[in-house]
Amino acid sequence: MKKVKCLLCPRGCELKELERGNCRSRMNIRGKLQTLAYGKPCAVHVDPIEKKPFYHFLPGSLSFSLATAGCNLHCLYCQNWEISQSNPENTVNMDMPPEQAILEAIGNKCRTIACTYSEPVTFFEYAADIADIAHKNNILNVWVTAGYINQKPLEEACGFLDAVKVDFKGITEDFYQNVTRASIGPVMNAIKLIKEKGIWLELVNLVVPTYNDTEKDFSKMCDWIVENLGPDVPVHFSKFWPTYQLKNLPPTPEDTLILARNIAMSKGINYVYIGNVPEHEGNNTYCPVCKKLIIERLGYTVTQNNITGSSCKFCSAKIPGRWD
Amino acid sequence: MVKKIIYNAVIIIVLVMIGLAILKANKPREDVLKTSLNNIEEKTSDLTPKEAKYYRVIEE
Repeated sequence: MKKVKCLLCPRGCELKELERGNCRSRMNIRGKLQTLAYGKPCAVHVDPIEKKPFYHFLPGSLSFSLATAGCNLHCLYCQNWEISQSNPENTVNMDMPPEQAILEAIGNKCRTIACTYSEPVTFFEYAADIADIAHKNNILNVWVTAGYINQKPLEEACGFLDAVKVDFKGITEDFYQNVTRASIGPVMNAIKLIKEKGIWLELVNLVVPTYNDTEKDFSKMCDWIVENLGPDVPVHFSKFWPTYQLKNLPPTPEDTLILARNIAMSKGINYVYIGNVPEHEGNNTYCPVCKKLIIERLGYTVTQNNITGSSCKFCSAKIPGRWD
Repeated sequence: MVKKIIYNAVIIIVLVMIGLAILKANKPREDVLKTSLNNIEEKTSDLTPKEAKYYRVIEE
């Protein structure tokens, strides 16, 4: 019997007949690697784009969001572990070929289709086919990903993606190994490649008490971001809620998130946000030049937008992102 | 002596009856088992695998 080697993500799973990859959604069937969940999303919702979160990409718009079962990471704190750590045959799936997804997006007045909730890398082929049809219908494509993907497929994905939010989960190899069961190097490479390709990029760092919440962690991460991506990539520091295998930990204290934000701003990062704390001023966008409030948010709702074209309406400074 | 034998026999019969009752109560009903297996089959057959893009075959 023929073995196959998956070349999609850095794990490089080698699979004998009827063996399944680490992501649970790919299997060697009769000597061919098959993606199991094509056209079978197990989660489908219409979300505000702010929920992804994208704060500099079509603010106030809706995103048709879907996921299939499986993930190539195994984060101890996964919020969606019921689907990300399940086999596709064990979730309740919808029958939704790419064409149907586009029709649903149009019908729900969504400007984007988001592959999110689990890990789009594991349903690459489905996401690619959706993206192709979406662009033909003036719908943009966004991914919410951990960025654990090989260079070649990522280069293909950059050809059809308009925006990517990467969960930059930690800044040490130890954190990635112990908490996500992955490795940091490929994630850093993916983030740099997405930026180089000119895809709109935002980063989220979920701050997990006792795991990645020290001043040193924040400083090291921000230094890396400024050095490799520049100061204009928005960075979101998000509050952790105890879940899955880390129910023993407390939620992230607000002071820790404020510390992270202050460090990031002191390092020169222009757009730093606090996530999962709905009424905090760290949800708003401030012009880095005149310091005035340009986008005010309450939860996922935009309550004020002072961007004209793509510039601050007060001082005309250009604000990076996609605003139209 | 006879009285003792009868007493032991009654105890054994009662214990056997209790044991049988427990076994009967815990035995899965055939229709339940069948339904659950059918569900698994339905779920699996619901998937429509498609050939992946990024892989290579390793000849053994």
